[in-house]
Amino acid sequence: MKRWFLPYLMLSPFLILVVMFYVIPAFITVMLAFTDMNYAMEWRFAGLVNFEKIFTDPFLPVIVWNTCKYVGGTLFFNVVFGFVLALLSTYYIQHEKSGIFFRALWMLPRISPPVVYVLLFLWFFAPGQYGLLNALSAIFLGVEPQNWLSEYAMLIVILANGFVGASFGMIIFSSAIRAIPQDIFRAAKVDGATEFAITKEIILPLMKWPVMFVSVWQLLSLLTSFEYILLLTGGGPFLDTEVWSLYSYHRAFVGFEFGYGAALALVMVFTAFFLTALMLKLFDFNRMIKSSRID
Amino acid sequence: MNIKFNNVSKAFNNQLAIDSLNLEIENGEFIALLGPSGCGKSTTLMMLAGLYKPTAGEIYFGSVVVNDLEPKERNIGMVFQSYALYPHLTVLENIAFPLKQQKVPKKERLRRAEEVAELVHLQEFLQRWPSQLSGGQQQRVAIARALVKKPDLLLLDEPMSNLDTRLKNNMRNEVCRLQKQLKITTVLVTHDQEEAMIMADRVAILDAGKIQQFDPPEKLFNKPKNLFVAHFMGNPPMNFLEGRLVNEGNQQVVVADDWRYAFTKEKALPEKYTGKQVKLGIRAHQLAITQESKDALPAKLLALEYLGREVIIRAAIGKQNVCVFVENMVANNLPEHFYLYPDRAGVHVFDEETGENLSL
Repeated sequence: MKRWFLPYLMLSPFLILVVMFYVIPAFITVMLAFTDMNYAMEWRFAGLVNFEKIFTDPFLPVIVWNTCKYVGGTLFFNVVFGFVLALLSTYYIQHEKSGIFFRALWMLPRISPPVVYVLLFLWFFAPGQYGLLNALSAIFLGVEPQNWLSEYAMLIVILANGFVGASFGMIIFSSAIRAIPQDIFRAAKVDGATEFAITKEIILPLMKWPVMFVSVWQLLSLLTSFEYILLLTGGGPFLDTEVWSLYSYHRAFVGFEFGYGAALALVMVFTAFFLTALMLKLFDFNRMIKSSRID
Repeated sequence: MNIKFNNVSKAFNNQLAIDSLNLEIENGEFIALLGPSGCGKSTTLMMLAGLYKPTAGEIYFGSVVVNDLEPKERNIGMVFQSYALYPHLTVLENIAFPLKQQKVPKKERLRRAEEVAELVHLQEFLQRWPSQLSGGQQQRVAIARALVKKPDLLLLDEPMSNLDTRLKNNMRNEVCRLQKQLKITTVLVTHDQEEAMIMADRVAILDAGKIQQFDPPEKLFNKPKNLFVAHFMGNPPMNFLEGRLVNEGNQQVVVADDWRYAFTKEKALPEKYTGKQVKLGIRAHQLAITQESKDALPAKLLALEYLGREVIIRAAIGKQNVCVFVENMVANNLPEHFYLYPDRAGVHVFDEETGENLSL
């Protein structure tokens, strides 16, 4: 008994924190999903009512479609743009210091507070003649000012998230490209490969594992995070940028339908599980962990 | 294709790695670049491959200056020390990769890849991944990949250094056989003198970015141009004895505190060298043990090393240690003091300052 007692004692402060802030909230969310708790904050179990409500919610098709556009678009942008940045800053810019400087630039949005970052975006796309984009297009193209944020709301949301998120992929991909031995590139050059062929036939196939990791990671974080949307558009105009997680937040904390909000969150968690499993299958995860492919 | 280096230099951050190198390689010849690490041999190979550009001078392939040609425009094959196989391609795809880059139609490139695979006995492993192969098999793949496009020049960058001794011997034979069969001009970079001697028609010995000597192996061994070559070639290394070259009567002699060595009339050096500090160089197998002091060097026994058929005797002549090869029989009852009689044909005299071999 003594042998396991002391380690658990040592771990207990941490365990208590984990239980308090991770386990209990998860448990409460699951419980809440089966109640019809509202602003009166009463626990009243209502069975599957909330789930029935989800599938008959008239907003549901729009929300699902928005979520697909947002997650798919941002994920694509993140992975592709992150890969391009990594490729440029590690392979095409061989000078190490320039590469590091270049990558550090792209890390800036990550270390600036989201509110500040979003303010810059809002200012850039602001309607009226004082918005930066409007001012620029008036000078160079002579075009009338436009209300970008209502016209292209989803696109701007994807861009804002994509520019922040791309640095994650960039860091993972750069270290993966750096892990490819120099001799492989030399061999490919001697074997007659052009730079384009080296990118396509050597680097890209060796990025399978990092691409999978970045995709799964970003997929999960994109499904559940909504702070940039909340700050940029608040889900609007109308429901144009209202995604699932934001909708759940709105129903719970703006409409005070805590039960319904929890049920929406619960469905999202299972969707995330399902999508992760699907991606692992898609990338042939089992074969990949069998042996390291770069030795 | 014959290859020529004309005053080629290569500098990295203003540090000369190669210092006006001149070298000519005949068509179909197998040469080795041999030297200690950091001597510039790999740099030379990289310049041949087009992966490094020379800082000065010209490299000719045939009559064409190739300084500014990219590796892919040179039609060369290269085998790397790490083999550098593409981990995400099968053996067959690895071998066919150079042909794919030349846009050879798929059917034909697979057929040609299979042909070359057969040449290096890989036909049973075509569908495997590189990670499923042994070191020797991986190297065969690397060789096949280098040969598949029928290169004009084959570059081997320390290809055997990751193999165990037995496999090394096999691969040496096989590479030599392929080279003779296909008549490809080949450049081997190695730090292993045995490998260079066995495989190459001619060996260039490099040190400090310069070629010290470029000759067939037996000439390097028997007629070293300078101290570096003499010291570098042969195992155990040549014995060196420091002394001064003087005239005694009408005889030319090298003298030291504890010994003297007299030259015969035919072997005498030009007069102008008289008075110089020199090093006598004698190989371990060119010293004979004797009990007579006439024309011989007095030695004291230090240790014996049994190698099986032969024994290496470590002995001291004055303050200098030497090695001598002797038969097992002789070694068994050796007195503590004896004399060493040098084979006159094997005595070299090096200038201590310049290292030059004065007796050539």
